[in-house]
Amino acid sequence: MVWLLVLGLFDFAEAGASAGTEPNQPRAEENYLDMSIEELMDVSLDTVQGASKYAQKLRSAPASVTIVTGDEIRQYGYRTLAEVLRSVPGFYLNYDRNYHYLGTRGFRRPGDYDSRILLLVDGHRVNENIGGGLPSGTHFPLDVDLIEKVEVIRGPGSALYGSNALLAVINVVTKQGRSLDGVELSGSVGNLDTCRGRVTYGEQLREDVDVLLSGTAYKSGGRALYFREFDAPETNHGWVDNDDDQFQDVAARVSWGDFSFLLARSDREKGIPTAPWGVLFGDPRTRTWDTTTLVGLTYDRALSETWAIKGRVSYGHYDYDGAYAYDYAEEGEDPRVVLFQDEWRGRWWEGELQLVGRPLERHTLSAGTEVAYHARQDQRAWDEVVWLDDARNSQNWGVYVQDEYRPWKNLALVGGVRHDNYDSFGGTTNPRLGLIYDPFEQTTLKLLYGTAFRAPTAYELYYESSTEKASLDMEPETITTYEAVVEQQFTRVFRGTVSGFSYAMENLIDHFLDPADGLLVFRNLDEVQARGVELAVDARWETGWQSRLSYTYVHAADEATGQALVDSPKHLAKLHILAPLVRQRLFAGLEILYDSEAKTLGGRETEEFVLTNLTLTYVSPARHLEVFASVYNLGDTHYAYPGFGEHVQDTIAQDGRAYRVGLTYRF
Amino acid sequence: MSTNRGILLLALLLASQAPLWGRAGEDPPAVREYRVKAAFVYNFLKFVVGGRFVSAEDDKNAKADPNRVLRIGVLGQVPAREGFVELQGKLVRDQRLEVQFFPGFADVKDADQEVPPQHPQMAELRKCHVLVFCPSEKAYLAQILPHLQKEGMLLVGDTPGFLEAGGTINLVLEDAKVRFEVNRAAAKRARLQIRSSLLRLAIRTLERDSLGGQDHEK
Repeated sequence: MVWLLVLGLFDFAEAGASAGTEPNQPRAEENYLDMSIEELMDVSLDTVQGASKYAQKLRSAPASVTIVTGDEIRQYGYRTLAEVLRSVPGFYLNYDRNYHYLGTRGFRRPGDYDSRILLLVDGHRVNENIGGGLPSGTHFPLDVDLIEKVEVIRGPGSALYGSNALLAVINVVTKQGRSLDGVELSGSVGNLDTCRGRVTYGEQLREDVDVLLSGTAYKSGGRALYFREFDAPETNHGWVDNDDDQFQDVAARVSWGDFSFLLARSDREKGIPTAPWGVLFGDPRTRTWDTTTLVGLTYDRALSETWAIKGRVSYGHYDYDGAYAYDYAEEGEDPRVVLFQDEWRGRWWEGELQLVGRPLERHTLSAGTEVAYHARQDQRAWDEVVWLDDARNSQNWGVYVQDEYRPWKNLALVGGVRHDNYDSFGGTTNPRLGLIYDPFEQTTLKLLYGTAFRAPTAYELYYESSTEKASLDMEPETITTYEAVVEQQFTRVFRGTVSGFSYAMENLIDHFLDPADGLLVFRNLDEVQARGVELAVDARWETGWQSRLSYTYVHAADEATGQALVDSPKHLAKLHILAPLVRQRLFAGLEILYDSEAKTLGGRETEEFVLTNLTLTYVSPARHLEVFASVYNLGDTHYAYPGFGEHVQDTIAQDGRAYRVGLTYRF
Repeated sequence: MSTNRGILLLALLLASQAPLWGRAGEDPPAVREYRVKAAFVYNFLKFVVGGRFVSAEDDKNAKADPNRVLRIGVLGQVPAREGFVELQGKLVRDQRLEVQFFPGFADVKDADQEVPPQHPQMAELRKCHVLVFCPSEKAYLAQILPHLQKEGMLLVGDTPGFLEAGGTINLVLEDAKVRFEVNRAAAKRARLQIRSSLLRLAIRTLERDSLGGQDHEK
């Protein structure tokens, strides 16, 4: 039905044009020479790269897009990518006290490693190749201080990116050396014995050479935690002290002419305090190690006035090691503690070649091909015996083409399609269609349709244990999404966005208990239907005050049972206020987040909660020194997220009030 | 769903039959940025008197010489020329704008691949009312700016450190928007008066720069 509107809009546009407006003139907002200085200072040059694989105005992107800038990351005191994304309309978190997980638009599955969202850094894929997961918490391989901006592109992205881009594509753009122009030292301390230090060097060495090098170290003792479920004398009355977390990151970014090189690596070690999978409660040997390395090289060159070529090669490396302490003693025997260990070894190469051009008037064409070779997708598990020793490699490739056609200045039609081929299941083809229409100078309407897929992961296909068996023939999960977005600029201060969306997911992969042998096995089982609406009002005053208020309502239900999904809060509301208390010198960043109740695996509900975070930043006159102080969870709200299948806890309590103070010095 | 798709296809088909108007696509980001920056330069001209520009007195009496041209020089590798090309022939206070592009220092290396101590077109550069320094000139600012201080010219830059090196107005990107900062010491040396209504909008005004000693030479 939505598309009926399309026809009406065409009529409208045609009537407008023939009624004597001057279609040959660029729109008023682009007659920059007629603008006053104040108006020019208001022209936003914001672009988004990730929506079409070439830079375009946010307004023209065939998706609902939110950008979070590096300044916002600093001024709101975000410590992890997960915290950055939690600020984005429609996004919410889960933290099982080991890893951070992202939910968006009502979808987050317990046990999912966030494999339904695609994460890129400078266009290179970060999702690992065994569980398909993305690192957004303390194991994200890049210090958030090195982020120039985060582009959040909602909706299906497989028509350009292939697997994993079901719900959103997140493209993290790193800073260039020239934005530092020297050396930066940054250090902070917080409660729970938390400290963090960073050294960064960045400079534009020559006109075409730019270098940034950085290293970060972080350590947190973690808090003593109480779990009601373990409140017994033999388990220390429910108290544990193994919530420690530490990581080291290194990063390098070098651009030289048409080439740019990226290296990001993180080593992270985390204690697991929740005693999942029935391990010994409070044993400090139960922990995980994650090492992520991403190396990427990009070549971007204009071939002529109309064509540009982009080449990209990347290498990804992901090591996971887990140690889980069990007591294998029989009833009545002395304790016999054994470490169950498992590991993942992922190595992958990717290459992409893309042509972007304007072969015809009014058309922007983008076409490319991508190949991936997964050199290692190895899983091992052992204690006193080897339970699993599975070494794999695989390949996949994709070809895509997208055309943006602008019959008129105020109308763009975007059509794209990508075909992917996998060793495991064969081929899948995913289209996207978009209509972006500006009926008035200050109004943009977007009608969007697309499908996306997620290939079954190596973990789902090949994992075996005493209770699970491999499942070799599975189809990809798919999603079909419809969305309508209206963006409206009210006066120069306010901008409003309303978006209505609906999506249907099919073939969702889930555990199934095979009655034939009593073993768990992954199968394409579930279907999910969701509908929702998202509202946001952004305000930017001339005095430098900024604010964003957003609200998301989603109803997501399992198609078979009609039941609401687990870990799917219906209502999310967010308020952000950035106040320059003293112009250019002292800023206050206030964040207030509301999550409504979410269903748990145990059939109960988490409590709704309001979180408040406040950050003050002082910048010295010559910008050499920056001092910052944050209070997280200002109101000391008690809140919890739903636990997963491996947890005894139905909900997992989150941190109370926390502090951080620090300074950054540049020279 | 298939009916909906059909309707969309029909819509696409209709669109392809529609009369073809308008310019192709939207500006690439660099073009947009430099069109905005060129518009800033164009606007600055309305707020500057003295030096090579009309005197404050003549401006008040609207006594500009209609036959005069205002010469804008663009020095170095401009990331997108379009914006400055659009200025060509525009009128400011009845004076016609003339835009001229000059090669940057890196492009005028001599036979030994050395950058010459002085720009070979220095005489031409000196004839400009406004000289816009592209980011490519960052390394050579100290070589050229000291020689242009007393020419009554408006020196506009697009690089960090431009003001400190003796430039008059520097364009900066903040939060994906174009802002500017003003070096009042350089304006004073060039005998330029910058209207307070423009100064008020600057994100920073500099009272002294690396050439500060020359303040007192007058």
